[in-house]
Amino acid sequence: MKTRIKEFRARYDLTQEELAKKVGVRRETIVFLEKGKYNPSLKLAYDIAKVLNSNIDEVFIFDDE
Amino acid sequence: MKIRTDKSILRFSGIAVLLIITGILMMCFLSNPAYFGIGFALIIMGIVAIVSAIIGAATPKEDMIQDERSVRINEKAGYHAFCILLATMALLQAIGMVWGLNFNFKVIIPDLFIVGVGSWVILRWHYNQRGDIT
Repeated sequence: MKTRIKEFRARYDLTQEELAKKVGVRRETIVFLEKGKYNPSLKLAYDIAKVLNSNIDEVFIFDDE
Repeated sequence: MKIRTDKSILRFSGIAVLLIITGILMMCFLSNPAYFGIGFALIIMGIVAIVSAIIGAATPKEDMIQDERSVRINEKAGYHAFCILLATMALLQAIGMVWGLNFNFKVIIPDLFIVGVGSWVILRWHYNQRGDIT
């Protein structure tokens, strides 16, 4: 799964630390999400999309594989 | 290094100091040797608690957050460590049967404990590095 978190973060001038604090996770979790190395729960995906003023399908790009 | 002074840290430190004071009082004023041992144990517990409180206070609060990823890592590492522990016991039993070694499991429990805890710690580290917890 790919994500556009980094792009959205840059748009809203948010650091990984700030985003992590806003959604209540560790910074490492945001790092792994951005690398596409971690599949978040639906709630975390929703929270991140909400903080980034966007929809889940805009922030997270699901592969069919 | 920043030392936190949260309410929980202060409460825990207070309990630790109370344990040490109780232990010292028991050792000084109660003549029964049994109380001396209990007092000594209380002091040791208090010292361990104070050291834990200092380590906890020195750790940034962000590192203590149990987010969904760390919970998943703990669960997965715990399950696999348990499997490793069972496999180790089965292997030892099989080796004992083949070579007639007659393992006394009561004696090797501490070693099995180290295998279990050690594999849990290593697996936690491994899954934390790998990232793709599913």
